Amino acid sequence: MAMTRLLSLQNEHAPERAGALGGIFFIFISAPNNARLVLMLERKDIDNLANLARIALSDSEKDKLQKDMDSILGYVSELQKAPVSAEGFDVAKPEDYYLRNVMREDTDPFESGLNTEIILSQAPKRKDNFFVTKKILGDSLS
Amino acid sequence: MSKIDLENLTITKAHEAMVHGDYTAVDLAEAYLSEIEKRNGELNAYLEVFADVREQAKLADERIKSGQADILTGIPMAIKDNILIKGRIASSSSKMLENYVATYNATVIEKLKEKGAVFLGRTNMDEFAMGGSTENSAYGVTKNPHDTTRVSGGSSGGSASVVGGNLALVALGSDTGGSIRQPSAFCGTVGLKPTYGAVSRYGVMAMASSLDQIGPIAKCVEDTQIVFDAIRGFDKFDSTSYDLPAVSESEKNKKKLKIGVPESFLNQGGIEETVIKNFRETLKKLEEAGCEIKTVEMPNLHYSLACYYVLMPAEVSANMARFDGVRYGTHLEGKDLLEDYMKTRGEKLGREVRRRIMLGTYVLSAGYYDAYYNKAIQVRELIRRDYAKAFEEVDVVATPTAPTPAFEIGKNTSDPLQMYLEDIFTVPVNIAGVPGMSVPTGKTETGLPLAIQIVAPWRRDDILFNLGKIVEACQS
Repeated sequence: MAMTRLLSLQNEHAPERAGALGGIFFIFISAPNNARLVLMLERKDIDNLANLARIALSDSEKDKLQKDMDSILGYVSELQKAPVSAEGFDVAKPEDYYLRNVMREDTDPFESGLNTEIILSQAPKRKDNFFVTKKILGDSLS
Repeated sequence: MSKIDLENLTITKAHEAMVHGDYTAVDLAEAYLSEIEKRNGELNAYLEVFADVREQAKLADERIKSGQADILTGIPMAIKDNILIKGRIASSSSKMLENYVATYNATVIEKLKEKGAVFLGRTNMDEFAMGGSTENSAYGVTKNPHDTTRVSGGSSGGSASVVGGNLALVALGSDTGGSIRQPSAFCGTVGLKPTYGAVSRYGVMAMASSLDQIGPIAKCVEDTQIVFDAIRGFDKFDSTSYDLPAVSESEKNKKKLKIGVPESFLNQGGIEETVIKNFRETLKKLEEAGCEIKTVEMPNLHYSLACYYVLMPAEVSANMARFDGVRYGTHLEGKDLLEDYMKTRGEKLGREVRRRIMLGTYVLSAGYYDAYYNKAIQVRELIRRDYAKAFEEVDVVATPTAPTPAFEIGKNTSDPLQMYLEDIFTVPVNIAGVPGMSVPTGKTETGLPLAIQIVAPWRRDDILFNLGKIVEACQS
């Protein structure tokens, strides 16, 4: 549950983020397709990403990350030169890669309660058969 | 009982010796425990040696006496710390899971237990398998058994170090971008990254799910094959897994293999002279052994590392979201739920893990998704096609496993990009999903192991065992 919450929160924040970074985005899409993508990350981008990823970072680490990420993103911008055809992604032939859909009948569930105790034994905090977390409504997550 | 020659031991030899009663599984376990006692302090390869090794070995002896032995019964194995063994700590070398006790067995563990293998302990690794030198472990670097001033490689550095140093007969590792093959090359062991889907990942901690595979690290190709055969196959708990199709005996033992070399990829520089010289010599020996060497054009292979450093962090950022300090693992208290998350993840995930989550969050974010993630997905398809086309002409594609021999501890830690370049030859294999194996091909003048990486078509892991044995025969 908590993971779902974390991920859905990222999505909720996405439009806000795109707005914050909109200026840089515009520069990129106006560049020719094979141009080397040179973007300098700003400090506010790092702050924003750290919040989205739910990671508290020190100022000195943010400085270092800004530098490292610029260098790594500079390197991966090499991808812009790859000869990907104009029509884009062509789905792989199943016989080449063994791609197939995997479905199963929605039957034979685990016996209820079978694994409850062993799973909850790893919880940092529990009450009866529940994980305990702080309230969500009314704090900064809402 | 005479002293067991661990240096030249193989699974088959150990199995026969135990079945014939030359020594027992307990004797064999004791021999390894005594080596561990002598060397693990220095190598830092095991994070934990299990307290019940002798009990496990006694059970194996009972099974051997009853005539029910499998080839792996009583064989001492080491397990990478990101693979779950029920009731034992599995920390992924992270502070986040310092006290996490696995609540179930990984499928590979279930299979090995059924066969009576003896688990010696859990091995050190780069935290959550992110790194190429085991220097990202929260519990200190693992040293190379051939030169303790150097790294063991990574991320399965502990597993390669214990096999290379005779502190275990075989080990399991996991490989997302080279994490079995590169440490194998550095430590003088054989390491297999199977075809994507050949081995169930149920119970290995996910790093980048479209790339991860579990595989064996062993002293020889035959041992690698024995362990692979024991752990592979369809598992209903991993929907990407399947049974490899059967291959005829004549096909399996084909002698005149065609080996393709992607010359333009090798000529891009950055490969150490000793590595390329050894690689050429190995090719020459293979030619003398009846193989045909051919240049293959794989024009998109050089995009692999860039492609990997988009896809991998993207998947990492999603997979690492599970560490919230609520359901399991470490929890730090903040003033509210948000601060609980921020503190727990900020303090308990290591620097490289944090860096990759940040990168992944970036490449997946609105506005950049198309430029990075979607582009990388398209390039992935180009790389797959390079392999598909090459395999129309040749049976195997060969490169060195790594551009350098094992490097000195601390040499690449300040520059992440330099560290990433160590994986240049191994990542294309994960991106395409094909099987790859690193096989030792001698040593440098200073005694550091060197290796060739051989890569086969999808589902043809058998070709790697065949050619791997030819490579071994060329060495002697």
